[in-house]
Amino acid sequence: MNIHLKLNGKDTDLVVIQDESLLTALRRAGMWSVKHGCETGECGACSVLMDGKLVPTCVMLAPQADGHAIETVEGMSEINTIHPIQKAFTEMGAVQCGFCTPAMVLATKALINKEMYPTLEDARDALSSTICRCTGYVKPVEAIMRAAAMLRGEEVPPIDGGGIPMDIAFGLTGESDLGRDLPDFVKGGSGSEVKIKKDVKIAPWVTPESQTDVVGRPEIKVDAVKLAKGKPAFTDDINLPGMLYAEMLTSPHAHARIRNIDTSKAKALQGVHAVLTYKDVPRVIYASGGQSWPNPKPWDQVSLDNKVRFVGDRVAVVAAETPEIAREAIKLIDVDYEVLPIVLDPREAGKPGAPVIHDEPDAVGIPDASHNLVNVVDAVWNDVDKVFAECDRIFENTYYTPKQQQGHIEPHICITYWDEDERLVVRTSTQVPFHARRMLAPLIGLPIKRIRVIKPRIGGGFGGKQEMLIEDLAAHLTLATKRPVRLEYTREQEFTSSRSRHPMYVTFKIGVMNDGTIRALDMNVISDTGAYGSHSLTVASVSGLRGLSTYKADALRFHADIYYTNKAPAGAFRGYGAPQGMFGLEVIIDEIAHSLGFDPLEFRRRNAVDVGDHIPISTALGEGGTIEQYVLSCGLQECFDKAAKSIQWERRNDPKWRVDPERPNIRRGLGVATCMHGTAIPGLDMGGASIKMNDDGSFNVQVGATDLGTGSDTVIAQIIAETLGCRLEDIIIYSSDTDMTPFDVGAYASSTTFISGGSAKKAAEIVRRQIIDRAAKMLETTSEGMYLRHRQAIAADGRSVSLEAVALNSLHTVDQQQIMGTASFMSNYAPPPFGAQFVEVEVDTETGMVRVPRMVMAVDCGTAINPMTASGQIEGGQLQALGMAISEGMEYDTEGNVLQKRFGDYRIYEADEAPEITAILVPTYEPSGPYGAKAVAEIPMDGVGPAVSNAIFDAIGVRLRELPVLPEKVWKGIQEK
Amino acid sequence: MSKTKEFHRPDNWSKAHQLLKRSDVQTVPLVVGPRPIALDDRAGDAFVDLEKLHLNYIQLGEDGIVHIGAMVTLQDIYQSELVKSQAGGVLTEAAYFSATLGLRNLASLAGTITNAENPPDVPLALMALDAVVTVQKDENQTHQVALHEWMKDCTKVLLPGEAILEVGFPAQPTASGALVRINRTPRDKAILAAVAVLYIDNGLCSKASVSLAGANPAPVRLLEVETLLKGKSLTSELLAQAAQLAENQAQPLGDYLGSVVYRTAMASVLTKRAISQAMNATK
Ligand code: FES
Ligand code: FES
Repeated sequence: MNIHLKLNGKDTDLVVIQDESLLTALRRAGMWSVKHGCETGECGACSVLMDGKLVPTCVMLAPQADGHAIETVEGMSEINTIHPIQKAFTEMGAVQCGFCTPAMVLATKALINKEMYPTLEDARDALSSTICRCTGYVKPVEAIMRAAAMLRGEEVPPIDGGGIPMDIAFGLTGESDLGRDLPDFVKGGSGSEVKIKKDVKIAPWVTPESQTDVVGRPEIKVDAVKLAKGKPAFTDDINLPGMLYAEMLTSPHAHARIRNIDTSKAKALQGVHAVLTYKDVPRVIYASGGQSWPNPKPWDQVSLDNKVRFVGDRVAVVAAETPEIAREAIKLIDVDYEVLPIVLDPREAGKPGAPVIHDEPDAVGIPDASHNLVNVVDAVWNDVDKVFAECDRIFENTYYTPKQQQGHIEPHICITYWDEDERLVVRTSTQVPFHARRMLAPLIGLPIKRIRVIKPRIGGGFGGKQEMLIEDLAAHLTLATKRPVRLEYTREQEFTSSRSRHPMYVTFKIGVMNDGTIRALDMNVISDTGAYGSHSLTVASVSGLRGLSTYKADALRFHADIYYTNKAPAGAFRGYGAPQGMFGLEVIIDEIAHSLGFDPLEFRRRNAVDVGDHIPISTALGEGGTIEQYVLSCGLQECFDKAAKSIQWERRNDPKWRVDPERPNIRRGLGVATCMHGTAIPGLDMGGASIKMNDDGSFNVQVGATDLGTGSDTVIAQIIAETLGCRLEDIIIYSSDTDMTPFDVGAYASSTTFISGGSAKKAAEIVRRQIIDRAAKMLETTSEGMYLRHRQAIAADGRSVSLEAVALNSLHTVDQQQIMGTASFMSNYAPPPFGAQFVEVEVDTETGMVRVPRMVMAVDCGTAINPMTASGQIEGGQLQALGMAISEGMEYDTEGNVLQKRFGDYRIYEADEAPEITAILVPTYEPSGPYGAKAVAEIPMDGVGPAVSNAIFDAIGVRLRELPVLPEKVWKGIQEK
Repeated sequence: MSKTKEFHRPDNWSKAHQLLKRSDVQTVPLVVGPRPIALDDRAGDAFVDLEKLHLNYIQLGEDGIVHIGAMVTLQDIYQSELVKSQAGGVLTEAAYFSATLGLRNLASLAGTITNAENPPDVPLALMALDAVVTVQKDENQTHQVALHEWMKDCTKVLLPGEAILEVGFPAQPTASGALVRINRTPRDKAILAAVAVLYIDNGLCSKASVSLAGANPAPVRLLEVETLLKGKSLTSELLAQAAQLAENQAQPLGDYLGSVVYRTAMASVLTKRAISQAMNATK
């Protein structure tokens, strides 16, 4: 049917299908900024303004727009122009992955049209219907206030400042070599003594007052403008001729054998091009976790199997002319299931008589399949039992963390097609393009060289896309049909058929002396990997690594048993085992402090590791081999100071603050947790970068690093710009295309700034050397003392030549040469970032409801290459972590059906209910990182859960050892007190 | 192959009724609630958009009734000064907590009271305001159902051919009201919620309406509690008795958000809290 509407101010006729969504119709009309994140109107990514009001279009029929005015962000600016609201969003760092940004921009427009002087409350209300999984809403709210001021014609303060001292950034010599101050053991030498080397030669241009020009500054993200303008930057934002739509048939049973499967009716349906089952694809065993070669075992999956192991497991896949036909075909597939008994609790899965989930003979590397035991991890340092025997007190308790869903707003989506060279192109929303290519090749029987994986912008990943989850199915269908195929998860499938955080039972046993000295830690884990073992070994190892690194001790022991259950598989999720380990650790540390009569903050201060301390457990648990680790930089004590001051820690001692005369059922409390994370996997993670100079002195950069919204492209470009003495806009960065860019392991393990940034810095240093050599020749001087700054190569005598002149000279004039450099970076050292997390709670003593008015986290991430993106990570991470503490936990019924299949039921914090969130950066200089940087992305996940639990104890004296702290759990604790 | 579903936007009731009463094509009014059902999962082979039927009014009638048209959005309710002036603005608050802005702009009153999975706040507030649903039976005929009866099984009340016309309740500018909720996060759908609307004259409660959700399979009016409170001074002892009555009548279905034991206990806590907050609001 035809509908007539005003689309971005223009009278427009659209041909629509009567029962299609307005979302679909608008995207078909080229409004790519209107995003799909769910089907139930709850994420807001599809929102537009209809007659000036924000509405979600996924739950509206296209004909409902007939006669109305529809606005999308495409209508807000032209090429080379930007609307003040979009500008404010880019300047304030409100754009992370950018998937939610068009909706937020429109919400802002609707608000400011109505109210030129919005309050913070108005701003939060306006953003409330757009779930943002990245930002914690702090910067989007600030962007609204800035946009309103701009639109009122007021002058707004520049977003500027920052920088780090030149002498720190470049060393006293003016050289910026990576790792110039490193002790020998990091460089691969032996010995455990930590000494920082200093050079005494001083470069003329490095003065104590001078600051870096690009590094350490809140530069606008290189992709922010296009995302704020809603440009077609994501996987789904293309339309390929002849593209087919894929749908998955998933299992309704938690455990069943497929006796037979009849696809004849589905195949006969007009418009269906392929129906694939286990009968149609080769049986190749693999592990879906996106990890380095060889993938950690077990290898327990095949593309399509004759057995299903959880509700939501793959049964068949269909490609058809339209999504509707594909869905219809799915209904026509007849499956004869032999339903098998199930086990859902990992504590039961290993017991005699429990159903065996992996009884297939060809699985590889399952230690004890008959008892559903996926992996066992053991690590020990010194004699734990002997030290326990010497301790004054021993504390022991078990802690549970739930199955949390990543909840990236862009679902998993993949489009596969043959290119003109008959190579398979996989355009996919992945964190691991290079791993995906390598892992996909054997499944579809193509050599790696005939596959190209392209990662466009990603609408959030958080580990959920560190997985080769759907690429194989789309590829099988393209192979079968020879047509482009698009496969996208629905939101429900994200809950039923995707990955999640591993639920864990963590038992800590800690021996201490009465003077408050921790002597020994023993950590025991039961981990639930669900139906497949993806990431299970390494996630549990990281739990041990993080649980046993933060505090000094004389002996450490770790044991983990990982079990299969008939639930959706767990996988990677931001923090990767650390939040589970740190929850147990930081709650039991609190319990010990209280029991011994210490202030919990002081107890942490006196036992936490510091500069020079050895991290012995890393030798036993490191994925990259047995590499000694020491702490080279640590701002933890300053983090405690600053965050404690910000949250007003001393209020704990004020009985008047603890109660609210207006609400006698409310008790207030404060909680603290120490955070310590890792930066990349030492001895394993590697990234590459390649830089070439253009005629105008700009640079093309290719990196394998995968920016999943965190701003890594920007951070890498900043590192290169600083090293090459140019501006950020002189760097044109292209990332994550297996044909075009060097290898990178991908975006995980908090590695990108450190590893990919390290390779970028090394490559830039190669280019820098070439520029300086050529400039020296042009100026007929020596390269000694020459440096690059302000787009110039400046000689020691003060004469200079522009980078553009250097480029033209080298490309066209004399001794022609392409100035370029390629480098890769791997580190044997994983510098830990540190953090102090504080949380304020209000507990309703009658109902058990917990409210969190405020969270503060101070983080030592070394040098924050971009303080805006770094603080954005800390803000957003805290809110994601608060979700796990308060509301997010996937629950299953007795048949193995997940109970939360939509955002509303699962409950991610929205803008108008999120607490006040503070991020404090505590700068240190990490000698092993580019410009002193360490990681920041994952550490915000670690402390909120335990700090909430500790704050509840502070408020009402009830110890919650299980997340999320649903009202009933707290209420029960109060009843039992 | 399943057929494309029809879409109709009639410009008068007569046409709407002709469409809705068809027996060969399952035809339903197109309404969205604060917890929308995905388009693919919506029942019906044909949708009738009621946009042109002028059902987006909120007005105080000469009959002393506040009339709210079926297609009035939750945002319209939230922003209405008339609604805000009733029973201390309890319905305003309920509309706000039912959905975030985008869905408040889309969800209609009709959509809010026709799906039991929706957040209970608006139905609870309206029940406590003695609301009555008016249903257009056919072109000329309407019939009325008390909302607390309607909510017993809100998906089954409408018959083929019928559509909700409006919800009305007696104007209650002098009443006080309170909405109290238990949830995981401040805006989360309530695990349990209660509304109290009170008239306090000279220290005595001349009329009380109390509704409760989450402690029974469907939201209920606590008629015994209302009778108990009527004509009495709301002492703490009386409140304790009211709470006990609420607990006694609770027959919850337990789930992971609240067991039977918890929901039963909270029936008492919330009932008492709603009454005492409404009482305090009068001071
Ligand atoms: S609200 Fe429409 S896509 Fe999520
Ligand atoms: S920036 Fe909001 S979802 Fe990523």
